[in-house]
Amino acid sequence: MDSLHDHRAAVTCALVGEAVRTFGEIRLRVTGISMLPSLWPGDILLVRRCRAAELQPGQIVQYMRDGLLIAHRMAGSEGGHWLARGDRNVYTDPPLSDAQILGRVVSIERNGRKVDPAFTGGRRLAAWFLRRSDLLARLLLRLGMAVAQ
Amino acid sequence: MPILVRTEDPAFSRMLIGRYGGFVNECGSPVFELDTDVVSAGKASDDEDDLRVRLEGGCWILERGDFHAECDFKRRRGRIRLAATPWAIDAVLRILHSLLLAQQGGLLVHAASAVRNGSAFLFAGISGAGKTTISRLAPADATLLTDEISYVRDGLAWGTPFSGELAEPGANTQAPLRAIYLLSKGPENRIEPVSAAEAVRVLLECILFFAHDGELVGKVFDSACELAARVPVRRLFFVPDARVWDLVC
Repeated sequence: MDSLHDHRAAVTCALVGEAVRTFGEIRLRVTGISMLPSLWPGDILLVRRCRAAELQPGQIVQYMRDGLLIAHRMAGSEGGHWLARGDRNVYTDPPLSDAQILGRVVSIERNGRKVDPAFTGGRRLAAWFLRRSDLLARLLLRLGMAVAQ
Repeated sequence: MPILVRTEDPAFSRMLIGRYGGFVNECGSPVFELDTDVVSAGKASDDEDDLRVRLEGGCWILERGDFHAECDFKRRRGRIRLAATPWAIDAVLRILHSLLLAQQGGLLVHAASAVRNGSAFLFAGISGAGKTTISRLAPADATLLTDEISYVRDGLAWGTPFSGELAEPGANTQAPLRAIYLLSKGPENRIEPVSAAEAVRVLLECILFFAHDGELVGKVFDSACELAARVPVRRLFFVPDARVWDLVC
């Protein structure tokens, strides 16, 4: 079952990559919580194809790793590789190559409304707290889901 | 998956028996029952662009110029109003099968398929890819399951009455699916490997599915991924030459 799951994940990544290369952009749904409070599960991201060199620190990059699709914030570069990190994560992700990068998140749709992807002061502060407390993250998630419903 | 079709129209009944040949039988436990109202009026149509398949109040509504069907999947019953043409009932049965199969991890695929030496081989491709051509080239010891629409479920390929240019129903039998070939016409007979993503992408192009339903579309995608993971998928370039069958099985 694991190999089937891995196969499906790899195929999904490859098809998403192909769709971005062919059409220039793609819409993806957020499932994880590593980018709270900037991205919430259920958000729809509009990802537009771009070259890694065009990305600026602070922008949200969509990339692929080990059959996973990940949207994290650009943190800079190091030794010819790109660094990204989830807003709620303590550590940066392993360095990214150009080939892993699909594009940049240019807009976020949440409950039918457009949300700015910028890392504002308020989000930075909230992320700082969320990094230090899983309990707070779970509470925020529960509260956010209740508000959405 | 047997579907019971009830009709009080003798001419329509004769048409069904003539068209579906070996697939018409007395089945005591159909998975779905369809009552038909055959009407003479109706806009003649076999255009898929004109087709609408939607879920409304728990009922699947299937409609095109020449038919309107309401299918309750919980009660496993439906009613169709349709023109007395083979294309109308053919389309309804294909769509119904595609919906029923999607729920069970099965697929209807634009593909020819055949059984040889106890194993089934599937030749997938959109219109013009060569499904009928490769079917016509099949050797005498191959049993043709269909030259147009293949039925895949539980690792088996099953015969279908849905025919293409051959205009003949396939054999009502099944066999374990051993390989899938993505058809391409080429200057010579040869087989090339394809990546997992390419295999799924082309299979998705060939899968019959008409409903705009997120959950079922997800199931169809999962089924296509599983099929490509379990059964070898390769690209087959071929010329209209019977020797291609020695290459594939």
